[in-house]
Amino acid sequence: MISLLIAIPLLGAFISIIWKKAVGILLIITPVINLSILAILRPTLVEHLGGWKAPFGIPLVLDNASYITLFIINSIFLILILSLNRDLLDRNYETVLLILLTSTSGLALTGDLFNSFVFLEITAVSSYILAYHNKNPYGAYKYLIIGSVAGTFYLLSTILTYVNTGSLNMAHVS
Amino acid sequence: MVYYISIALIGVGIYGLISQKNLFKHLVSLSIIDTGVNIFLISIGYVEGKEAPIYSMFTLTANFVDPLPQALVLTAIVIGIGILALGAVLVVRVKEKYGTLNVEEMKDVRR
Amino acid sequence: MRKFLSMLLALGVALALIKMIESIPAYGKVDLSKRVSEKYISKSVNAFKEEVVYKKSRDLEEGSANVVTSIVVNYRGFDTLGEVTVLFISAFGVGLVFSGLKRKGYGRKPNFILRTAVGVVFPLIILFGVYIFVHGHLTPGGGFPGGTILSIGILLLYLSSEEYELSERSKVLEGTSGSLFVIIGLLGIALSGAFLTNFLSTGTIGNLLSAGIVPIIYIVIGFKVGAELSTIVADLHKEG
Repeated sequence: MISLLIAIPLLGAFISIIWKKAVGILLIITPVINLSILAILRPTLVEHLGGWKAPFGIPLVLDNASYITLFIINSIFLILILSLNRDLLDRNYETVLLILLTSTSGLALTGDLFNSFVFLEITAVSSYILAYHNKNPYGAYKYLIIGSVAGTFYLLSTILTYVNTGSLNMAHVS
Repeated sequence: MVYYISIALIGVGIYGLISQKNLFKHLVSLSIIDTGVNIFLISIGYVEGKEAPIYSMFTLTANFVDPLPQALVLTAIVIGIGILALGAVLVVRVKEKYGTLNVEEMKDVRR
Repeated sequence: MRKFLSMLLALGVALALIKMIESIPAYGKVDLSKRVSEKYISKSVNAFKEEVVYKKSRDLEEGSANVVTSIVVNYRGFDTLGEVTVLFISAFGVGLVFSGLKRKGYGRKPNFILRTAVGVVFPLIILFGVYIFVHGHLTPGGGFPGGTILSIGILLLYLSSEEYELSERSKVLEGTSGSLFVIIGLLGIALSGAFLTNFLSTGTIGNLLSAGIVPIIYIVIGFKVGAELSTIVADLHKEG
């Protein structure tokens, strides 16, 4: 059930390319669904994706810290969408907002080192696109260079952890 | 030995990123840093005397090198391609707006 | 002055990395029993059944002959979903920055040899790309190189004619394949209890119809990557 918090905004982003008129409704429904799922679940819940037990698979962990983080992310998103002036934002940027919701929830929920690198890169690429919003290519380019060098050094550090300890799971390494 | 080659690539990439003045050369240096890190990742998993990790008619039972870094490098290369495509498109837009790709000349034009 | 300072900084970073390299085992002398990969190779994550032999073992817990494919799609399939999302969002970003209406030509008529050769070579390229991602669980390759080869065919069509334009149906293909991947994962929740579980049976290792949902996911990924890279190629040729 935890993986529904990540899968439903992703499905919404893929559908919004085929059916351009549904984006407005999807942007409001998705945080409401997420908040209602959060109201049902209780903290300290672990779901092993694919059925493979840890440390051989990827776990999604919902403990006290990630519960509060997810609640804050979804409610800020809902307030942002309700108070947005629709004429200022170009119609095409709304898919990027759905992917941003997916990747920040995934970054808070994951329990695996390489998985956190992948979600960090998704967040970074969607914010490079949002930095171009006021027709400012030079600023967005400077941000892209600095952000991707930082992401490469993050990958180097996860690999050094794997070589020294032998596994990629956060709970198994500590 | 292979570790030193990949560290040399990372060093060359960082030198190119800071000292060059053309914006397109920054992008090429970023690609060199990515290549160096990927080569380091693959060379972690080599075991002497063993073969590629595929069950086939040449290796009927298991006698393989480490397959996990190869799976991680698949993902890392694709992410590098996505960032490179976005950066190249932004460079074309900068050239159309300011007329030059040199950082020193752009300081005068932007005023 | 600037070049001297930047050379000092690059040397400093390289020396720090060399200091970190001294604590890892030497090149080629790695002990595989201390790492997680030993269970992935012998396919014994849940329980140890028997030794795996090509074309003889049946009904293993994970039935693809290519061990790297079994890690990428089955044991760590969530990373592949994130990687497909990165390609999707970067192709979308290229379309936003470079929006236009009509095709920008090259300014001269293409060569006669190019125009006739593309008619012969283009179906062979498409066939080769589809072969690589259908056989992803038996030979090296898989969805990502296969999709790239499909987009190279589209680039050849752009090079050999001045009026060719990619139709809007590639976006429909891209969105449909992406939703299909997430829907296969949600079916795993409905049938077995966790996201992206393998709910079909795995047959004999080494056959074409084996390994459960792994060939299906690789076909979906192959079409999606091909459509995305073709969209990037089409957007770079636009103006106006």
